[in-house]
Amino acid sequence: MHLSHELTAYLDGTLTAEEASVVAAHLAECTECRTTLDDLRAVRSLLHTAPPIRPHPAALSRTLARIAMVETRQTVPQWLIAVATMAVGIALLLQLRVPTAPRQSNRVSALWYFQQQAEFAAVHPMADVTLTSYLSSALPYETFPEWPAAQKTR
Amino acid sequence: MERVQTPLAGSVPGTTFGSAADRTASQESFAELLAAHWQHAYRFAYYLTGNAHDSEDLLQQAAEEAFRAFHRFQPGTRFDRWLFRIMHNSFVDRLRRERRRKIFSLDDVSGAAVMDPAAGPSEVAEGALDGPVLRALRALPPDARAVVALVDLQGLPYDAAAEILRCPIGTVRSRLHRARLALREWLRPYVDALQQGDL
Amino acid sequence: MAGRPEDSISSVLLLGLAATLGLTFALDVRRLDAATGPAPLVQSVRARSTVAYQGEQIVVTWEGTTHTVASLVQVEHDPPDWTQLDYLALGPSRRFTVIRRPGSEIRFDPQRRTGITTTGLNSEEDIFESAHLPWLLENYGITMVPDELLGRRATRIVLVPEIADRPSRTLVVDDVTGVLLRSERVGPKGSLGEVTTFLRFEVKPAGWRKTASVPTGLRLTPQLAVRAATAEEVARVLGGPPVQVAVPEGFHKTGDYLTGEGPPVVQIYSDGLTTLVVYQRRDSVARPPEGSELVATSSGPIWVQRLGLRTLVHWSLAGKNVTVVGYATRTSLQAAAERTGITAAPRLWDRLVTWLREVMDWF
Repeated sequence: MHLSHELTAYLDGTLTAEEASVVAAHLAECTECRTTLDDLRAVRSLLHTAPPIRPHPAALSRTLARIAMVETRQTVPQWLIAVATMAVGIALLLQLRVPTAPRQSNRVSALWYFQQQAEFAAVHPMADVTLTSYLSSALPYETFPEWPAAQKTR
Repeated sequence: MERVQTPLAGSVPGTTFGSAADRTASQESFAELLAAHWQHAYRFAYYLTGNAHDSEDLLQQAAEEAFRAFHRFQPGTRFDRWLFRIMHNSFVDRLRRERRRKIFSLDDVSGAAVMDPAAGPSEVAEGALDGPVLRALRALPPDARAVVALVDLQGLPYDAAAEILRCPIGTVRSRLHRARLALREWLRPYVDALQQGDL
Repeated sequence: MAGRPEDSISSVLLLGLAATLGLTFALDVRRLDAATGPAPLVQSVRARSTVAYQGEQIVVTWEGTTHTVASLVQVEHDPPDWTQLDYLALGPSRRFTVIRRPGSEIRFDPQRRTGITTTGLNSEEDIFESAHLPWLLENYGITMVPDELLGRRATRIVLVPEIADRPSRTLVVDDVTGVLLRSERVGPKGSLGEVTTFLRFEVKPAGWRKTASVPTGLRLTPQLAVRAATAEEVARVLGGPPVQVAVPEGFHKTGDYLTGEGPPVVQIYSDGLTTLVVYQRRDSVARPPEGSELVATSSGPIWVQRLGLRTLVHWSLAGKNVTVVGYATRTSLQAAAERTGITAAPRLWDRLVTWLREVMDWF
């Protein structure tokens, strides 16, 4: 009488303590079951070597867009979803930075703010002029990106 | 300077499921939940179908079904298990529709490998990157594939697999046992090498 | 005393270390009389606009834990009409010259002869005693010790903040002239952040640079047109009242300004010793500065960047982007952002719809 699926449970640790000791006792005396257990262990190890599966980056956005259509039944044409999701992937949706339209690029370097702070700090009566001039000049001749036209006072 | 890309779960304020009539809140929670479990769901779909195209198809269809049924989902319970159940049902239905002949059951598989007619030479060649393990998986009948995918490949406990496959835990155990034995035949040379310490 | 740069840096470090360990002169420590400002402090502010001198300084900043930036500076000071600073950065050699005259400042590369010119703001020395000094006395504990530097009698003044979210400052003020000979900022955790000190110092007669003039043939680009603004102008530019930023304790607003470059509204705050700058811009979406790091708070996302002792925090509220930069810890500015209010992150669903719409515009 040989063990069958009890061996799998034994391997996965899902037997109770008494059941496990019964199985262990049997294994001590039964070569064939021991061999089967070894085979199961080997198969499980091989399964753990399976390569990672990665979805296409645009797959989630495609799916969400279709779900949107389930509800709204209008707005976004299917051809557009297909084309758009090729161009702009899920990475944008998963970041908390809101995606900007492709034309605009108005992300200014943080360093610019630090330089400006030093400029303003220079007028403080306790400012160290050598230091503030230095800090505001760290990159003296950097040309800064254009601010979009929306910045002009109305 | 480093940039932090925070995964969605945990960085967005907690999702609140509004009343069933609040469609926007419902859409929002669903989208967040789907995004959080997307990678795992895709992998499950891939293990079931065996190729990228069908897995995306399966997942998309299941996601739409899940969205329609979202009012039946209990917030706070495990979304992934609920979604996986829908995916598995969807997969089984699809098989029934597509196959003219009767579905394999594990009883036909006792110890001997059975070729899945879908896994022809071209598919094997296509899966060149997948390795022998995934090819062997594709050769298994669907219920065997599902239980191996959930327990051995996705690392779920028996009770989770039982919930997803809608069967008793004992059935999970016996199906898993027979599936592993079947895989042993497919992977015989590798099993031997592993046991002799060559791998 | 202008030896090799490496010598200067090691002597700076040694002095810094000595100061931190308190191994200076074991003489009486004169505590501040709360009623009046300490005389050397007031004297040093006045000296800025009255005493002429020449010398060489070294400036060292610690940007982050490993990155040190240092520069030698040749200084010519003849107030109020002329200050010239010739920088020679140590390491990747970078020269630039700064010339400050009443109402303007130019900065240029003496070799390439290109640079910028700014019409800056007026110095606030005249309101030091009426505004900044009282705030300073409120926010900082002051101790003074007799000291010596470059063979001159001096007073070492240590300013320690009551609130431990900003740096301590040490000043070494020349007893005779009141000139600030050495300045240090040390972070709240004791990390040395910035040091400026004279290596060579010589008093000059007033007017000694009377005939100095800006070199010819410089190609200068105008920068940073800044002007003081009224509350109405600020509201007009922002399309509504500005965000009332809950700045860290002890800071008081000294003015609202409009700039022609960057976020149009700038609000300056002072705690008597350091400057906090708040930028505001009208924008419906958060556009954080390049290089800043996202931090998720319980109210919504903020973006943070640190540079040495200074921190930048950026977030979105009520259709505006707010950026705060100053000598405060990240914890302190993050708390300020949370007290002020942060717009929650746009939900995934809204983002999807926005993104799809933007893409449709694209086509």
